[in-house]
Amino acid sequence: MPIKALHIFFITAAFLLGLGLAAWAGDAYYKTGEKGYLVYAVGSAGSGIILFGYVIYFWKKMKQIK
Amino acid sequence: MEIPYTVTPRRETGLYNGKLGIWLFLASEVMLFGALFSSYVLLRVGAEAWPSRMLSLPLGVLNTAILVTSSVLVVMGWTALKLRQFERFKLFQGLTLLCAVVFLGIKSVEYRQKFNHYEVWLTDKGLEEFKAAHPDHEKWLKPPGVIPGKHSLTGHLADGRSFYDHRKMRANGDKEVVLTPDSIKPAGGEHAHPIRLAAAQIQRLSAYVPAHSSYFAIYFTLTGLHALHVIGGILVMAYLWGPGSRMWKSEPERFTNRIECSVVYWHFVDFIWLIVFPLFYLL
Amino acid sequence: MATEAAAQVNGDMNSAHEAHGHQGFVSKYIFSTDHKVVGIQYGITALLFLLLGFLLMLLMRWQLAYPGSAIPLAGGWLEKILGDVARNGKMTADLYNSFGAMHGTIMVFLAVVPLIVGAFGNYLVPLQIGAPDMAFPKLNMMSYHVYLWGGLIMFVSFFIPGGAAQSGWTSYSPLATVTPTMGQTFWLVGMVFLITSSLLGSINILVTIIQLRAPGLTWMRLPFFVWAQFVTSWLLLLAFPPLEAAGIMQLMDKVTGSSFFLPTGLVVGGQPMDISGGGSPLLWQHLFWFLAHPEVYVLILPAFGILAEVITTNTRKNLWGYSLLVYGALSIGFISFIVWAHHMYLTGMGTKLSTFFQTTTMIISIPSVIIVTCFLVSLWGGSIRFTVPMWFCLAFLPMFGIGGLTGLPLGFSFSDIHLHDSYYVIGHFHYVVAPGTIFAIFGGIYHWYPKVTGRFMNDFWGRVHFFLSFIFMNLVFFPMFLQGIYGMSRRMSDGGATYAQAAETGVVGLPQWAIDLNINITQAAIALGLAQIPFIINFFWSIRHGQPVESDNPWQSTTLEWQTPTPPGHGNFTKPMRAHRGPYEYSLPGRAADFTPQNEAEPKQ
Repeated sequence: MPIKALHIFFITAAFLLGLGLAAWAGDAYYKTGEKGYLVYAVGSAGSGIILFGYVIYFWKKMKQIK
Repeated sequence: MEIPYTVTPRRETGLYNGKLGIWLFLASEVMLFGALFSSYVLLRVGAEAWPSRMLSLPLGVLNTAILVTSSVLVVMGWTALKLRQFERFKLFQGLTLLCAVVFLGIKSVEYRQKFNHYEVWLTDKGLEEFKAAHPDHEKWLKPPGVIPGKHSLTGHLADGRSFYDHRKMRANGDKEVVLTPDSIKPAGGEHAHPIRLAAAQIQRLSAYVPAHSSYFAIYFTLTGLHALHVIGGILVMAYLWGPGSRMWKSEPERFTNRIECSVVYWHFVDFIWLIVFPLFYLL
Repeated sequence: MATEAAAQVNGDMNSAHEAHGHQGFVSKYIFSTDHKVVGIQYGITALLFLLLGFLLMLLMRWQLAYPGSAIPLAGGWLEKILGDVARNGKMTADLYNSFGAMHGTIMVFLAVVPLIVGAFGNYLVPLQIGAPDMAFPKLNMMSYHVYLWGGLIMFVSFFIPGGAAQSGWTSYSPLATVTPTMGQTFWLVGMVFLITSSLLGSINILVTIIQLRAPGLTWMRLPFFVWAQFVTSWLLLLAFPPLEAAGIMQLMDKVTGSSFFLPTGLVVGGQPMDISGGGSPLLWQHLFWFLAHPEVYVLILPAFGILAEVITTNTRKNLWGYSLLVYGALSIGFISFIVWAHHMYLTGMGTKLSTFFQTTTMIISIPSVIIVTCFLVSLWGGSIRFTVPMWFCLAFLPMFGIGGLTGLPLGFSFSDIHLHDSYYVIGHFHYVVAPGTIFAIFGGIYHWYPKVTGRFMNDFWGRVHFFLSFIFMNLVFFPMFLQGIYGMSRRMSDGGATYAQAAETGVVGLPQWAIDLNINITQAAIALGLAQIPFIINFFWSIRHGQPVESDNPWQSTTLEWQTPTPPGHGNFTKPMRAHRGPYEYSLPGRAADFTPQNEAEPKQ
């Protein structure tokens, strides 16, 4: 598997994990009301978006490299 | 005597030797970690009680972020090398190594936190005596967990030591154990003074070590094996960053291929962590 | 020693590769990256372990034949070296158990597999595909050293207090975990080394075969030996890691006190164990057998590979059904991953699960039969040369036939209920591995010895070795089927006396004749051991005094390993190799010679 594909796969997995963590933390916040979970939920969702943006950037940039 | 296809790919397969080699190695690693994940599933499904929220979520999330960042950095290093920017490569590779070392540092902090954190199960008689002596016991007494039907107390020993257990207690002839208990949120506050437990009241005392429960056994095994793989990756990447980078001058393509193989490996190690993290920190 | 022969050659070949400069003894022989030297290293080390495993078995057999009596000759030494477990020169039950566990471990992991994969595989695969060396020569060197250190750890475990592992080569928990000695821990650490060595070796062989085939050598032109090594390496790559995981977990249980394989409420010696519990002994069995079943195909496939080479050379004929053989080997590889629980029929699994495994087990016997049939049909119409390698390989066929057929009642759960853990099982698997694989190994050694050393092994003593081994192998293992059917359990140090038929009480038990057979088996085993002496002497004597070969291709074989100088130098071939034809072009009409080497461009008509 070419390394570009591997990296994209990996970042996608990390992005999905970020979304999952956001969902989990959101659910935990809903159940317990602790502010800490809200931080995690927002933080993971934010990281997920950043990763998503990164993967698009990476894909575009890698078009140039063999 | 030249081994063919160390650098130029073989047309039929489109691969150079090292790349095929590392992917085969990863196939075997998938079987290795797969066996451990399957064991996790079997142990968890067969267990009467499976602890949750036992690990530090902030540290786990931090470690995850560090590893994902390191994967991004290591690819940036490889890209720089492909663009023949050797100094940028050195920078990114160095940052990757830094992330990896910090990951291990945080992991060892987490491990140490577990080794001096204890769970005590009292005998039935001991439990009665404890309840009698501490009217506010609901603040400290945890509901039954890994030992069915038995309540427990958790906390730290007053002298802060690690790796103590009831066998050592009996072997040394210690008469009592002084525990600074954890309070059960949200009811408890700070306990005014440590709880004294007589040796006779204690059925089982264990730190959060592999011997504590199946949960910790598989936790330490999986994260320990993962950490060993991180160390392996650090050794290889450090070699390629340091003495190994001399190959850039003599055979740049072969060196780039070596970096590519190490990047593939590093992604795999990171991917394993992406599975380990939810299994232990979230679920 | 064989390495000295290589030294002679390397001396001659120095002119061919002066680029290396002067290599000291250590880097040339101890840390050599040349696949041929590594192959010889594996070969000598593994043969030594084979001998050790055999000696352990002889000591055990004395106990089985004459329970409680002092062992002649060796008893005194054992007592001196091992102390109390061999008090008065007698074998105690603990010692018997540890010899049994180590006999199995040594034979499977330290002797047979390193021979057929590490020695034959390493030496021959690059040669047969026309490559200058393995894809990763340094990794090859490392894999030998890791194997050596794993083997040494296993060997050293005999001498530690408490002795070696004593819970069977299968190391089932809880027994393996609760036995209070360190032997099992050494076994586990040794296994980690051996599994690592095997993984590195299999990656090397796979990449070598996929990437380094000479031009013109397409997949279906590969000698069957190479196909066999290819499938074997896939099995090693994918099947070993679960055992490594299991080994790590059992090591955790022993060293840290965890309870991966220890169930809640475990009682040992009348005392409830002080453990966290929650573990599963079945988990160990599943993980162990997930490797150990493919492992038995690792034991047999390279032997099939050796057979293909020896049979074609000595019948002067192409193999019948080359494609069938290749697809058969591939099918065996795939199916071997889904049969493992036929070792676990007696664990209380439900009928749905046991039906699944019985079905897959029956299915996997089909490609095995196809392969043996192809070999048998290949003999038809051949101009058979009854050389020593050919004798061994011919004998393999009926021996493997017996081994395979006796496996059928074990594959069905209804009959396995009676036969499980009995001597019948021991008879079955030894037939497949001992007069099976080991005969193929002997055949291979006699066959390729002239290429490695430039001399033939002595023919007369080779025949003596063969005939005596053949007779005594059968005398050792055939009676075990009868013993097993009549109820004799394996792993019992008293030779079955506990379950003997007691005439006065009328309780049905093991008949006395079955127990008495132990004596005959032991006598045959001792004779089998004596029959190996001509081989050992022949092996070393012939290095210097064997009849020299008169050509680089003394057997007139078609495959590429015979197209090298004798022995092959560093880099193997003196000119670039190209394959122009299939691997076994023997006796084709209209050709001048009765064989055409694979690399020959225009055959002489």
